[in-house]
Amino acid sequence: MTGPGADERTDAELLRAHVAGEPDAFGELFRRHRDRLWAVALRTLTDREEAADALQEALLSAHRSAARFRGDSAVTTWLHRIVVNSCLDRLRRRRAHPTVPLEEQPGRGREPVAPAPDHDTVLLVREALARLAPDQRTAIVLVDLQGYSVAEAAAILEVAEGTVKSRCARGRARLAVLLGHLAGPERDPDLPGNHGVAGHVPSRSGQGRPEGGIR
Amino acid sequence: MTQRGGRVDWDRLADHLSGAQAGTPEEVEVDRLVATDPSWAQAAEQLSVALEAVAADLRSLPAPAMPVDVAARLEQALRAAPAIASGGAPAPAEGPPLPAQRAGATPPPGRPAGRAAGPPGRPGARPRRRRVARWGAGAALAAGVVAFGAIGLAALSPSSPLTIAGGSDADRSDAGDEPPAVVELPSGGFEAPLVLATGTDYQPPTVVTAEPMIPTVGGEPAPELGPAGDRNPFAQPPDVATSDDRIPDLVPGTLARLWADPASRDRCLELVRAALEPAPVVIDTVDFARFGGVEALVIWATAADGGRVVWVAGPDCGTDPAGPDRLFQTRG
Repeated sequence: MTGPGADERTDAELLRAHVAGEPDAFGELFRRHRDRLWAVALRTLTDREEAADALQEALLSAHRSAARFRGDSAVTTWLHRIVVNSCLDRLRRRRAHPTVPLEEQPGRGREPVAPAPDHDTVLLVREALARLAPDQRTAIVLVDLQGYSVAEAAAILEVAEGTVKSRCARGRARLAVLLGHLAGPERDPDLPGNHGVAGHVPSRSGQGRPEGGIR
Repeated sequence: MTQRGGRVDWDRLADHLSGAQAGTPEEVEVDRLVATDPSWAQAAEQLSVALEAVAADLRSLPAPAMPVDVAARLEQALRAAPAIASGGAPAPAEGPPLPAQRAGATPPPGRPAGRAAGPPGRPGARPRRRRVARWGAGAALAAGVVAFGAIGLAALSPSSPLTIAGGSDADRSDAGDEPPAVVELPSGGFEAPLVLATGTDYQPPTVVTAEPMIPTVGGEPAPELGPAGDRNPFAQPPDVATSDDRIPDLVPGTLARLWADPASRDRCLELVRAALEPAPVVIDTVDFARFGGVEALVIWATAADGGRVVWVAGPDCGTDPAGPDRLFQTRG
């Protein structure tokens, strides 16, 4: 290797090198995929510190268990699976103690992102995503935001492709309610997100923010 | 579920529009509802339009790049993580040679010096537990702690599944031309855990982080010792157990069966493994010790999601009807 980005080995070759004891082979793998892994963790957990913790836990787990990688899937799929599991585990643990998404917390630095054309929309969409059930949110993060195919997402989540499709579909439908794209949902308890609650639809201007009971 | 009193099942409709029902009788049924029921037809039209708007909203989200401080922290954590030794030889190590070697074991080429805290991370974060190549690292265990890695177990019980699953340097060097790095364990197999007898009395609040540690073979400083306290693991040669050894004094009396009979111990560990989740679970360390004053087998493991789990088993572990004989279970 001559420097960052110069390593042309495949992911699998890097992982094998790591298992064989090559220093920094795993680090190269990390650098190669870090932004995508970070995006999955941050968008799934919606909290910067939790995302960092989950990612660190996942990376160290992958680092030490690399020898157990069976090669049944792509290395990136395996890495994403570990990250997603780490995130879902944290979501399960915090369910009784919901937190406010990072982006909404005052005094916290914003993520370095590309300029957003409509900041209000971005905030509303993030908020709505954070209100989805974890399974639906994770599926949407992988497929709609990260651009994975349904098959790839199914491999990462270790579920059937139909399950991914359904989670995405129902999650998108709930987002449609939460983002105000479906009219009059408060009158229909069967609308996504309205089960057992009197649903409220946020307007794009931020009025009528959704209340509890979406999850 | 079908249409209920004219109401539309929106989840079902969403599944339908996404193609999740493709090729199923459900697809035909929802097609029929949309075609014949005005409420379903109207809902399908509304939802289709709404989903397009949602797709546009999702596309508006900018992709977050990893912040520089997070990247630096993770880089540092990975650099500090112990090198793994697998696929043939222990990871390279620096420093003077080990003061003693276990019979039958291939020693690491060197040993780390001193002790160190866990890998960097957030202040106050618990040190990461490290897993070690048992077949090599067993040479460097805490003085006064009778320890058996896979090699030690091999000496005691050549037929032990632990030994078979864990393999040895020799086993792995016979792998031919296959790349040694990505090791595919036998189906249902698991790496051999580190088996210790410390006699430590663990307590519930701290047991997760009290896993006994052994020095790294990766050329890094050894992590803090757990129940072995401040004893320098290199102060004297480790005890070496052979098949002629009596049961060490540190093994609690009620656990003698599990210590002396590898088959019983393996049965116990398999049952514990099966009881933990999410699977697959890899058992890392087993300590013949005490828990809250009660003689117990304290077992540290790594779950499939990377989480640390601890199972405390009683002396009847592996027998009927005690099964894994759970005294305590927690997750870190």
